Amino acid sequence: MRAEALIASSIVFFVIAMSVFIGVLVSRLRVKVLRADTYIVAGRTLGTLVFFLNSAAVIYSGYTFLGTAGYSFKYGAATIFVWGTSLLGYVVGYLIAPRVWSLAKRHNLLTLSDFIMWRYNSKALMILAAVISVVFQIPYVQLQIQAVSIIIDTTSYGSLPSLHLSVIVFGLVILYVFLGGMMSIALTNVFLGALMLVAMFGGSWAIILKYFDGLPGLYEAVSSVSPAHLTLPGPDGSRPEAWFISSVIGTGIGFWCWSQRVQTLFTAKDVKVIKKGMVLNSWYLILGSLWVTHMGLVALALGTQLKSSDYAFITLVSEAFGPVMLGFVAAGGVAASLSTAASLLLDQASTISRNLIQQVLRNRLSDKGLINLTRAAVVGLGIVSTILAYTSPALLVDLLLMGYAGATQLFPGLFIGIFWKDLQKYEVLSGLLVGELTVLVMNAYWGLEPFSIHLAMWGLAANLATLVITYAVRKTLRG
Amino acid sequence: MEEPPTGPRKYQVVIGLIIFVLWVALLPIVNRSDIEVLGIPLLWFYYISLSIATTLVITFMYLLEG
Repeated sequence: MRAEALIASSIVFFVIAMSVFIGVLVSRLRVKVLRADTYIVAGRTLGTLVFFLNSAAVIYSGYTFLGTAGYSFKYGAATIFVWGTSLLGYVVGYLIAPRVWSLAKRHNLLTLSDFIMWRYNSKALMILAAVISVVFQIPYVQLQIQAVSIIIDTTSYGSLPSLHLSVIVFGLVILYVFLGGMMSIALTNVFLGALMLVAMFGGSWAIILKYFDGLPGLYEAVSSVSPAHLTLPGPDGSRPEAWFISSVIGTGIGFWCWSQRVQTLFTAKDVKVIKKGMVLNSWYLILGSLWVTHMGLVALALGTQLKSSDYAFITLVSEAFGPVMLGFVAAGGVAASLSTAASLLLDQASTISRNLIQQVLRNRLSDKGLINLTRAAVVGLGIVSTILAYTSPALLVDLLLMGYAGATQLFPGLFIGIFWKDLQKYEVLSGLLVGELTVLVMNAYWGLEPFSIHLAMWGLAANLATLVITYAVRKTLRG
Repeated sequence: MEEPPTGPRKYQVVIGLIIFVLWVALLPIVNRSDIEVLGIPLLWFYYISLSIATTLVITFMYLLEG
C-alpha cells in the first residue's frame, strides 16, 4: 500500500474505531437499567447538545457528504433544492414536532407507527405505516454502506477491497446498536456529528479558497466551463423550475415523515430541547452542508476526473491537500454514514419488533423480551442490508429520492391528523394506499420525475384527493 | 385525542407559510444567468441569502418565545 493510502486510511479507521469504542463503552457505562424506552428512545432524556448533534448526525448522511456534491456536478443549480428540503423541514419541525413529542411522551410511543396506532386505533394502518417505514429505509441503509465503500476506496487509493471493508464497518455499527441501542447511537453521534460539521465546513472552504479565493471566483470559473450549471433547468435540461418547486415542497413537507427522524424527536428531554434542536440544526446546514453542495461545481470548474459524480468532494480534497486532510474529511464522510445507518437500523428493528410482531400478535412481551426481539431484528436487518449492498448497487441520490416519495405519503396521517381531529382511519388508510400506489406505478413508467414534477408530489396529490373524497363519502353516509 | 398545549402559534404558522412561498414563488424571477450580485449569480445569491434568512427566522422565533 502507498504511504498516502496508509495515512488517509489510518485516520478513517481510527475514527471508525473511536466510534465503535464510544458506542460499546456507553452501553456498558450509561445503560444501567435497560428498559424498552431506554433502548429505543434513550429514555427521553437527551439534553440540547446531545439531541442536536444526534439529530444532525442522523439527518445528514452519506448522501449529504457525497451525493449532494455529485448532484451539483451532474445537475448544477438543481442541487439547491436540498437546502430547501432541510430548512423547510426545520420550519415544519419547529411548528409541529413539539406537539408530536408531547403526545409521544404522554402515551409512551416509541416509533412512528406507534404514533399512527395511537392516533387512529387501526392495526391495518399501523402495519402499513410500519411496512412503508421499513421498506423505504432499506435503500437508505444500503446507501450508507455504499458511501463508506466510496470513502474507503478513495482513501486507500483503490488498494483495499472497499465494499468488503465497508460491510465489516457496518458490522461494527450493528454491534454497538445491538448492545446499547439509542443511548449508544446518540452519544456516538455527538462525536460523529461534530466531526462531520468540521469536515464539511473546513474541507469545502479550504478548497474554495485555495482554487478560487472565494465564491465569485468559483462561479466565474463554472460560468466559463458550463454556464448551464448555474441556472435551471441545468446542463441536460432535465431539471426545470417546475421540478425544483415540486421537489422543494415535496421533500420539505416529507422531511419528518422518515421514521428514524421521528424516533430521534422522541429522544428529547422536553419541548424546549426540540425547538433549540431545530434552531441549531438549521445553523448546521448553513455552516456545513450548504458548502459541500458547491464541491460538484468546483470539480466541474477544475475539470477533475471522477470515477463517478459521488466521488467529487473527497477526490478534490485528495488532489488539493494530500492524504492527511483527505483522511480527516473522509472520516467526516464515514461519520455521516455510520451515524445515519445506526439510527436507521434501530428504527427499522424497533418498528418490526414492536409494530409488526408485538402489536400484531397481541404479544404481551416484557421490556426485556421486546429489547431482545429488537436486537434480533437489528442483526437480521444488518444481514439483509449487507446482501443488498453486494447485489443491487445504485446511484446514491436516486435511491434517496425514491424513498422520499414513499415516506412523504405518511404526511397526512402523521401531521395533518394531529390538527384535523375529525380525520379517521378510513380516509387516512385509503389516501395512503392510493398515494403509495401512485408513487410505485409512476416511478415504474416515468421514473423519479414524471413530467418534471417530483414523484412525492404526484403521490401526495393522489393521497390527499383520496383522503378528502373518502372523508366526504363517510360524512355523507353518516350524515 | 388529548390536547397538549404545544401547538404552534398563529403568527408562527403564517411566518412558516411565507417562508415556503419565498422558497418557490420567486424562482422564475431569480432564475437568470445575466444578473450577478457581488459576483454571485442571482439564483445562487438569492438561495444562499434565503437559507441564511430562514435560519435567522427560526432562531428569532425561538428567541421571541422567551
